[in-house]
Amino acid sequence: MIKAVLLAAALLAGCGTGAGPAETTVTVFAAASLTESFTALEKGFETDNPGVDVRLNFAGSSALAQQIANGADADVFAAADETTIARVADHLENPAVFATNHLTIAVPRGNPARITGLADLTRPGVTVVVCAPQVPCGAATRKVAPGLRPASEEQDVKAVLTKVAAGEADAGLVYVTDARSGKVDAIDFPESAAAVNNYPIALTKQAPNAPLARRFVDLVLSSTGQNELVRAGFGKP
Amino acid sequence: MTGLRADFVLTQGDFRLQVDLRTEPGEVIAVLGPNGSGKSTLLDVLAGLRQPDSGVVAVDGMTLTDTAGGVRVPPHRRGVGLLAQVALLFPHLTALANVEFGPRVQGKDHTTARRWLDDVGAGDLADRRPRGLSGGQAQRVALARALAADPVLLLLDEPFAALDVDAAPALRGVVRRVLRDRAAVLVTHDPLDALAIADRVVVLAGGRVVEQGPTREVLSRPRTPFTARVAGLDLVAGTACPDGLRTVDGALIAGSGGAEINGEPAVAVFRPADVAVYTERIHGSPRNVFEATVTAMEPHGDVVRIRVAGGRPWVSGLAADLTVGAVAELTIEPGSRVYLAVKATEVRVHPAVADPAG
Amino acid sequence: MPGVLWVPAVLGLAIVVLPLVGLLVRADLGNWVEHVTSPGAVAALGLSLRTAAMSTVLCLILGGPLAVVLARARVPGVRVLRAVVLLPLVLPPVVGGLALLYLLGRSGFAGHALDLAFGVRVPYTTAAVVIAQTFVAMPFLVVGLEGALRTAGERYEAVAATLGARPWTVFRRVTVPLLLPAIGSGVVLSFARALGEFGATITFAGSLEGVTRTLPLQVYLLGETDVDGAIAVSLLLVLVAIAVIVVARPRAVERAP
Repeated sequence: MIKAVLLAAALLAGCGTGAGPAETTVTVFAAASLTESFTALEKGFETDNPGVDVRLNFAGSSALAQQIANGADADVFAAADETTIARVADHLENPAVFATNHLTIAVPRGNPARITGLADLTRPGVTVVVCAPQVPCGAATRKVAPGLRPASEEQDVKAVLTKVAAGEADAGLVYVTDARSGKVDAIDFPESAAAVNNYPIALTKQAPNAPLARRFVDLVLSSTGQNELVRAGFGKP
Repeated sequence: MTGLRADFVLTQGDFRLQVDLRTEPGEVIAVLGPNGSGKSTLLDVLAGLRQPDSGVVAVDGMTLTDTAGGVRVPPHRRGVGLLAQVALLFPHLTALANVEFGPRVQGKDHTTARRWLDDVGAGDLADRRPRGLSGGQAQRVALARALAADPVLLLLDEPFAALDVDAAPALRGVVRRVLRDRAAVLVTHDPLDALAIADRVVVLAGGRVVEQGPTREVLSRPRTPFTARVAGLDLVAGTACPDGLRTVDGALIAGSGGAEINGEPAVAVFRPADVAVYTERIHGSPRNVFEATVTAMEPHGDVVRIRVAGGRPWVSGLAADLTVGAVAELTIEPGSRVYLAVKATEVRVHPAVADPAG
Repeated sequence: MPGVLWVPAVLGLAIVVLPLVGLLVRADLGNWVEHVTSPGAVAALGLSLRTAAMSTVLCLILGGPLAVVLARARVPGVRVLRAVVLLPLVLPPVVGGLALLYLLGRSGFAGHALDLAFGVRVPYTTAAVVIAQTFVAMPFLVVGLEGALRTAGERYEAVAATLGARPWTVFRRVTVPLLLPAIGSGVVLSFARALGEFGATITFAGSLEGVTRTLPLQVYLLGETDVDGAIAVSLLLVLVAIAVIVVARPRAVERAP
């Protein structure tokens, strides 16, 4: 019983940010598409700042914004589009654009349906999966391919990617960066230029550890950060 | 023409049931035995609900089960009816619809159902649902249902055991009447059921038939200690009269229960343990006293059972249980003259199947 | 009953009730009608009711006989089968969805065969939603019916057989009528479960308005963008669930011994 109480207390303390360990913790909420690049940056940041623990929380930008609006303890928010970040502007310092991204056509490896461009996606018998228009990748999809009739409108890019990689769809519209996982092949199409996504990053106003958080944002905007992002397929702002 | 023939072996785990029964057509046979003796399993085999390991079951010359010949008539084509301990009326049907069930599913005339309900004294329950019936009422309806299906053999599995003391005798009377000319197997642990209903008794113990024969003979003169224990009763045959029972030679055995069945063939029943034994004639108390001679003495648990013979034919074979101390005090031994006394309150008069031997 | 049981009992009740209160408090009740009559919500509600009804019928005509077989058949391995049937009850629905995808999806062996033989593709169709719902809902019906069958025992059926009823007649005129209360509650539970099904659906059937986006998927989608809408649709789902329980519950209570 006592053990259980102690354990619970420890867990609660771990969740908070006011106690000891929090002084060396930076919590970063980042769009799911930033998983690879931010994980690489985290390692470098922790090496350069001994004793600092960067906690990365990857999810759909909208979901993260929702959590921040509900009072989640985040120091930094890096979103996949400006609309999303605008919705929680009250909770953030001024955002800065640190990367751009654009859509590409993801096809199962080997491209069994022989997709060569956007026009092929409206061919009969071709199963296309996209993001729902309510989420950033879906909004971009609607902008570049308004006439598309998808089989399913998924919640996020990863869900689209999973279906394409599993061969359950002939094609899916995802971000260039997401298509670089190796599980799918990517077919670039010129129309994607019509919807370039700007990735903004900002400190939260209640950032429990503002100085450290600012150092992380600086790292993202630095040439080191930019190189890492380009390596992951992002464009420069 | 034979009645029921059942000769089979069935093993289940380390229990082994081995029976060999033969009855005359229209005969009612009672299977007596304690719990776990295999009575219900026997019925399941007769009804076709279970298959024996080997053996034969036939009714009126029609083979129902024959393991060697690969015959296994399914329950619904056997014509073997079942009346269980609880009525098992279909709860979604009225009493009348329950009785109509058999004829209907067999595609026969179901208008006989009401007659069967009347016959078992449940005519006024026709429109009632089983939920609203008492145990005795439900069992009557269940009996009518079983009979309406016109079975060639009726199985009764402790049909009175779940009824209260008021309902049981009445239903026993009904069963006795409807089984008068119908082949049936009655499973019971109560020798009185057998006495009232069955022509013959089979005593089952540990999966084996330990004794069988005419009902009264088996019950009053058990040949094995086991039968004596489950069924050992003192019985005196005769005709019911308001004060008890009148024997064939005109003697009165005072007891209760005779008035309701006045004039019918009956037996006076009492327990050997309720019989007092004296070596001198006694007077002045409301007892039945029989003069007799001790023929045998045998230990029976922690008592000694003495058997007697007497001047009157019906005295022969009666038994009395005495403690070892009482035997010593009375100084009785085979050949001793004794007076058996039993209070009228310990004697019950029961209807009995007429005994052709008298 | 020890009085101390009240404490955990009240806490338990609170865990069930308070979240619903939270939903109500946060709800934008003024615009509720507007939210639930939006084209997306109306399409999702219609689709949910349609698919849940269809999968309930499937549960009944497949799960009913399955329950009878599990309860009555004397074949070796029936115990294992009984455990297997329970799997969807304990599996995360997402796993169920993946399993269905790798069976009936294009790359799944059955899905591949269907596609080649009949040109039928199951994923992304309303049929896929129905299959996913049936997968998760059927155990509720099977477990309930099987339990009722075991409780009822075979005695009524044995008596019916001795009265001359052949097996099919026994099933129709005795087994089924005896099971009606259990069938009723099984149907309600399956319907409720089908209505709430989310994980298997989104994994196997995808999410498209009017085709595969049922109420729970609509809530999930709105949850990221239009919280008021999500709460409004959630309340709608709660109302439908309450209606289902109210319809079924009194009978269930009445049958209790």
